[in-house]
Amino acid sequence: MKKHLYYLLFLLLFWSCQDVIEIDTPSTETRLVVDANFNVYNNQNPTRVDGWINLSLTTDYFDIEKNPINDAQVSITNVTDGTVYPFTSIGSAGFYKSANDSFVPKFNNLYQLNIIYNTENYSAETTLIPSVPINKVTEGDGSLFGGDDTEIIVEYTDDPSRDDYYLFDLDFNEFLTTEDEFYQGETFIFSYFYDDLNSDQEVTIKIMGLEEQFYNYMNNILEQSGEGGGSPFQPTPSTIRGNIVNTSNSANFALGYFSISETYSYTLTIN
Amino acid sequence: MNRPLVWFFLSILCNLQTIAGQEKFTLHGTVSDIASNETLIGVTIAVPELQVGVITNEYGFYSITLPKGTYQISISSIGYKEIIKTIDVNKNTTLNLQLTEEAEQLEEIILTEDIEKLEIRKPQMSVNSLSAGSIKKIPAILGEADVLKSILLLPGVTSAGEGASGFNVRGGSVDQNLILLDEATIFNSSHLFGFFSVFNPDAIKDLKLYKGGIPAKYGGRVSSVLDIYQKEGNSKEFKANGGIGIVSSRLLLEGPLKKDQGAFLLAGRSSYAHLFLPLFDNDNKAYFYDLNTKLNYRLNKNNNLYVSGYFGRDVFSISNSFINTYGNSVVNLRWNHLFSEKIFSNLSLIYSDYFYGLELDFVGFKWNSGIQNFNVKYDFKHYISNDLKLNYGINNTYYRFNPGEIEPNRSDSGITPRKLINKYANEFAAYIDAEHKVTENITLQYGLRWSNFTRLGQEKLFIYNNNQAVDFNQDFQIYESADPIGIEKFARDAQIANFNNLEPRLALSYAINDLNSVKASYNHMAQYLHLLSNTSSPTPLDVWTPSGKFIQPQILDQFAIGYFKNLKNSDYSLETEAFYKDIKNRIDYIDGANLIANDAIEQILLKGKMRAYGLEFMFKKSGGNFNGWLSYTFSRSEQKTPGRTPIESGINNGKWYTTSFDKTHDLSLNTNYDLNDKWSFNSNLIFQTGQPTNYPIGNYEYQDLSIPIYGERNKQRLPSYHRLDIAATLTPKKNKKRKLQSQWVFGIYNAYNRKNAASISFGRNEDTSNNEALRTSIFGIVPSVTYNFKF
Repeated sequence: MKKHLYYLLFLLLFWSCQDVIEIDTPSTETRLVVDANFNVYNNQNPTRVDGWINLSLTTDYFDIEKNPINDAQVSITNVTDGTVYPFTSIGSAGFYKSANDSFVPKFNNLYQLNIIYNTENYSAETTLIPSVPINKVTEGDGSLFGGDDTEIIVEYTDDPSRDDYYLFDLDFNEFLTTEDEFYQGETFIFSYFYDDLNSDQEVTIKIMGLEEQFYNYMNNILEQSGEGGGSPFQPTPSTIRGNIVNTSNSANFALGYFSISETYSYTLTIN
Repeated sequence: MNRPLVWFFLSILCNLQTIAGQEKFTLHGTVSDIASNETLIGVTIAVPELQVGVITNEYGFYSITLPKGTYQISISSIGYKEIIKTIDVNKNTTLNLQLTEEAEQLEEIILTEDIEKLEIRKPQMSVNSLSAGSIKKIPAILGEADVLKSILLLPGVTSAGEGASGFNVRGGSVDQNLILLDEATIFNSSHLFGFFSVFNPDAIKDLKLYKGGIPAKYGGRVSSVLDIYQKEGNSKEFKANGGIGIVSSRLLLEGPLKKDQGAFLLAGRSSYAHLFLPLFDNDNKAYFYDLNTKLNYRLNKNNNLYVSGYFGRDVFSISNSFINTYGNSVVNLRWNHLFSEKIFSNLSLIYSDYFYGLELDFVGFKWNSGIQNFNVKYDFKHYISNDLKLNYGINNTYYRFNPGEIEPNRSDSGITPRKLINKYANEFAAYIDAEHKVTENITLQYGLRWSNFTRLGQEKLFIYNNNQAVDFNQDFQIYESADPIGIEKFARDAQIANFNNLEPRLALSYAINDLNSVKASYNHMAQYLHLLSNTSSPTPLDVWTPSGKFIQPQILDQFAIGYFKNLKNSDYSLETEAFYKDIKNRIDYIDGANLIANDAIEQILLKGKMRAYGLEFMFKKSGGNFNGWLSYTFSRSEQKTPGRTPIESGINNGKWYTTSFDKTHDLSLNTNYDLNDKWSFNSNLIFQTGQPTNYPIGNYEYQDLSIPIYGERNKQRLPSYHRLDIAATLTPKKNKKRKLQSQWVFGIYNAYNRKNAASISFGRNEDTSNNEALRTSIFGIVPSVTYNFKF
């Protein structure tokens, strides 16, 4: 909450100015990056699972070339019932998929991701985390800065029986995290403001359930990916550790996260 | 017992004997300005024949004891005509004195005293004073004379950047400064997130900044004391003064309640409502205002009453969907009483409140938090002899912390009302402090403060395994909040935790001769309140939290040594000091900690330490048409939070890292030139090492987001910061013939338009999808004009 507000106010001060500058950033050793998120749409029949595993190596900050890994051995094991889902490399951008999309996660099962890369074993465990449906998304006529921004109003009803952590994917690479601490079990409505959407443009809003550790991880990721940029009110950044463990050599840890979220989506066409 | 100590005690005994052996009488009274009856601080009352002198205290009071006889005494203060009086001392005498100002120029009507002059023989070191007059002469951003920005020009004082709130003293953090306004503690010293300070320069008489050798009278913060006194008001005649500037306008009214006996002062300042939001439409507001009031009344020659108040607010509102209000309120009642001509006392009753409120309509909630305290203090100044003065007193503060209360702002909001648990605490201290002239050349100041802090009962408190509220996850090498295993409930009068600290203070001055001295000091201090802030500079939303079961008080040890020299009739002075300080129990935060609306703040805190050391240098010229100072500081400020056990990583792998306000080199040159009666010119030249910052050491993509990788903390630095400010003051000639006195101040801030980086941030360019570095600079060249008036 804080970072958004102050970022906003800071930019309002009319004499501040921003410009792009050239900087030499330091280098460091490369690490494996695991991007493995699965969205499970339980309200569709059959249950749809969106997701893949993407592997890459870290680069220098200003490198434009990416560094995908296509030769790792990847699988997910359902630890609860013993099923193993092999994932095979597709294309050359570091993507891996299960055969025939056979990987369909269920509640109350423990899943383990296993990766063998460069003779080292990496693993991570997670479960399917529940979410709640979006009641509705409507377009509002409010605006935060009186400019061309477009207000959308999102409404959903929190589950009173548990502590929830949600991630909203608001399309256009915009994300928002929220926890139900202040609206436990209530119908909650919030407004989000986009810069300048065209009429007839479609906006798809997704709500995903997260475990607490992943919620903290996403908060850090969003903070450091430049969302709060330019504000002096940022915490000191640090390397963000996810839930991937190098079981062969713990010092050579991997970055990224393995998560499975129940997901609901809602698509709105802008007037 | 070693020899120097024996010698020390013998000399004390000798001194006491001489006191007993002669017939002596005491001269005492107050010194005030003849035009307004405003009492004057720091006036020197000297008896040249006996080589003794005393200076007036914060309430203008002095007391000096002399052997029977007839003496010439001199009463002097910079900006005032010196008085020489012949006094027959044959009984205890009350002598109230009045001084006349030297010149009639407007800027000098504001008091300029010799409080800024270096006192070579006093053991007090590491202190800088500024009078309101000096503060107003310093060129300031947008022409707004600013108390806090002025002290940044002094050695050992920095801030985390132009837009940063508060100030840092000798490598300490912002929350380690005790800021007193007429003896009342101020919790947030900034308007507009740090661009301006909350002190109206018109209402201020003078300020003193203690960076080290802090007397036992003060406690509760470990880095510095900024002691600010407001003007009392003119008890002779009604006066008004004010100013119109680009950012704000000011008006001050003062006059007698009863002639020569009591006075009132009322000062207001307000910024213009839409000033900061000209680019957006008119639904938006951003402004601040503050109000200072003071009443004083002399009941009789031994009793004075003062009532003072401060109220300040910042208000932001954006399209009515974002409304933010915050500020301090302070009410203060003081009673000065003379028990005898040698015992001056002041009793203060203070209520102070800091409020922070936020309303976010687009999420549907209202939020408020704050801190309230009731403070009683009783301070005595006892002029035992000219060689021994004692300060002693007691101080008690009761605190109530409201960490936050959230409620829905409209009926269709899904927010459920929720109150975070209030916290309560009591802080008590008793102190005694002696200023003791041991020999002609050696003066000591030594004291002891006993402080006690009790964390009082609250509704509930979590219980954890092994009392450990933060767990270390060895697999992922991250710190995580621990799950509570239970809840403790407390009655309000229960004690959750209780701390006691004995805080010795010692300062020594050895005068080599009248112009040269060497000083050394040591102080040990405890701080029981902590500001929760993990950003590079605090925000108004940051909350204070008391020490308790999970948070230990911060403990400071500071050593300083200095060499002081006056040159050429004391017009020039040179101060050099070296300091080292060490602070235990400095709190640090786990990565990604959420400090706001957190009912279990202990779950995100780690315990670390802090150290700072440096060299300070100040060269000053005080008299004449051309004056000013050059200050330079070389310093380092670091923090370290090691793992609690060998398997834990700690913060930054348990290594020392520089704080975000560390500045290796910090140079400022302030000059002031009075060309003639009409024109005077001022300038600031500032050079500072860039602040520590973090550049990414790598990058990766995750869910289509570009994520930077960071290495060790604060390893890089922003480019060096430098700028030049100039100001010209025009006092029109026609002033002499009329009652209305006016003055124009023309200023240029950052005259050569240096684009100083306030921050460098990293992110992905939306159009090219490539990463880029973005520099934010706050102030380019900023011209300003201010009109001041007085009648």
